[in-house]
Amino acid sequence: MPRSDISTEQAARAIPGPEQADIIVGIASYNNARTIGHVVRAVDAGLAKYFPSQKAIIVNSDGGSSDSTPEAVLGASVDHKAIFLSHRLTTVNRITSPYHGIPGKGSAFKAIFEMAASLNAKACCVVDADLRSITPEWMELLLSPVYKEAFDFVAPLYTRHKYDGTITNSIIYPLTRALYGRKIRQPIGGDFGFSGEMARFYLHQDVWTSDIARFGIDIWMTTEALAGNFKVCQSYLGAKIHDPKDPGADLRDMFVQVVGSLMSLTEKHNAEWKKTHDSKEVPTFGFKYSVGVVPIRVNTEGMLRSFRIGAENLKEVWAGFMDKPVVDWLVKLSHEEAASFRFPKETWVGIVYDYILAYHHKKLQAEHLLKSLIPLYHGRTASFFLETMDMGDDEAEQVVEDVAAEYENQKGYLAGNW
Amino acid sequence: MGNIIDRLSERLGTFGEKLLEFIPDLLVIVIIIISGFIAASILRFLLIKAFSAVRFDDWSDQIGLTTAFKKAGITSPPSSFLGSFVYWFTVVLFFVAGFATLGFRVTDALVSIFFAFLPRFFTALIIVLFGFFVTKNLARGVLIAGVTAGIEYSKALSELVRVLLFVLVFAMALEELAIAPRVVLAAFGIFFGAIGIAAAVAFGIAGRDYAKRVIDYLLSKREGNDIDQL
Repeated sequence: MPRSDISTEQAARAIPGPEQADIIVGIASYNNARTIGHVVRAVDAGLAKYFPSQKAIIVNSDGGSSDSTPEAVLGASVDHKAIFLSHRLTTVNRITSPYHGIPGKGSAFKAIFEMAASLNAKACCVVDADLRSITPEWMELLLSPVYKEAFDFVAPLYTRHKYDGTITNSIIYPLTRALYGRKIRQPIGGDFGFSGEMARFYLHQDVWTSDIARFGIDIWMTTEALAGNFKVCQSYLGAKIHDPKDPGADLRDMFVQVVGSLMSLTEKHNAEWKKTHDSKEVPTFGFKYSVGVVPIRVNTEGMLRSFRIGAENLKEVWAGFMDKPVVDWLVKLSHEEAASFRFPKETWVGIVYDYILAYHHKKLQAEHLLKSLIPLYHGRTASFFLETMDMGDDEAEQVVEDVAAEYENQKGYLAGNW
Repeated sequence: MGNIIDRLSERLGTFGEKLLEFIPDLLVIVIIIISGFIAASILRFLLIKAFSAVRFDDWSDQIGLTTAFKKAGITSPPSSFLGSFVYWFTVVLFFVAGFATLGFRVTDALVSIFFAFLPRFFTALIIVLFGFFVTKNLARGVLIAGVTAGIEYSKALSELVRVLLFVLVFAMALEELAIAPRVVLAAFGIFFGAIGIAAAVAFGIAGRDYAKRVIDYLLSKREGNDIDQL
């Protein structure tokens, strides 16, 4: 198993005195020199303001950046007086170190879990390195539920544009809610708080050579917390604004890793989700306020084209695990013009459940199966864009909630055919 | 007349003696063949049980073997078909072994040829089965990669890969069986050469615009996509 470079020894060097820390804040990075300085400053100020007497370490787990990201972490400074903060009683130490293992966010997090476990941290959180909207308050919102209220896991809650986070809205949120019975709105938000015990639990799982070591880490952390009956809550952080994704990055791979991880977790925790029959709210911290979000440009025509190409070429593959009338309907839908194109939520949810069953019964090689879902996801997303075109964010949110309710309604189909 | 009758009775006597001499051999052959049927039945039974335990038919569905069998007019499940194949193969094996006990030069030669051919036959069979599995997976991989890359004619591309690989697999199998190896080699070379030239000419002349459209589409997608799907 790959070992992280961040060792207990390094951590001990970072904190004079006992080999122990109260708080660990992890930042996974890869070529984020432009934004990580702001993130570090916000974290530093947040720790100074809300945890002035706790021993804290900021850990940057880097994927081998070539743009001086580590230097930006170590060089970021905060003028505490300018933000009306008194000096901390103890210094916030910073460590930046490359991680080992499969390149990916999950491997970076593993190094942070190792640090948390070795320093016996009480509360930890991880934040993305490309955040532009992070404020010092995020530290309180992610850490206090753990440090002061004894929660094990804190999921983020953001205000997002109606077209932002379409995988979350169409698959991840509603499915996680239907399966595990908790309304965690951003299961793959990326900014989480967790206890030291939770970090040790994560660390001892044997998943570090799978997709979970890549983009599957977020859904894995949330699902393990839910399925393991840990104390879970969410904190409202405001808007999430971050650097646009690398245009060269392959979002299809991201889709496969996230949805594949979700399906493998559905397989692993089938005994738990079969026992759950409805969903309930989780405790939510933070003050919800109205916030402007960055408008999102969408390429509906591109998504429709992807769906049409899928329907034309993949109908035989789909017929291997979906009912023929559904496949015939999809082919018919692919001939519709954009104006009349509607992919109903009932059909979409049935299809997602068929895919989970196909994954479970090993009807196709996992990668082929997951990639064959992409055109359907594009079709459903295009339909969502068209349906909510004239809606405000709140109305569009209600559509997402309706989809989530449909997942709960049809859950019996999944359990019955398992 | 008496002479004829004497010779006839002498020959019949000899035939009777030979027949009596042959009866033990015949009995041995019959016993071997009956044993063959019994052994074949047991083997088929065990094989079908083993296939059922490892869910061979489900796996066959996944790789498309069941569909291929159906297209070839075999309606029984693959496990049952292979069970029958092993059954009759065992029976033939015992038949051949039975005739080998006679010790005739002709049967000995046939038995030698039969057993010498067996390794080649099984190697060819493995090549076909393994090739079928690889072909199915690669063709599906091409299809799905093509669709996710936004190529409209992914299915045609995938079918082309499937046909090329099938030709390659069957050429390898025939080569192994030593059936007209020169013809196979020549046909194989001509077939692949022709396809290569045709593809190059087609892409170079007819596919220019299409290639341009695909590249333009991919580039426009890279430039215009700033949505965070997660």
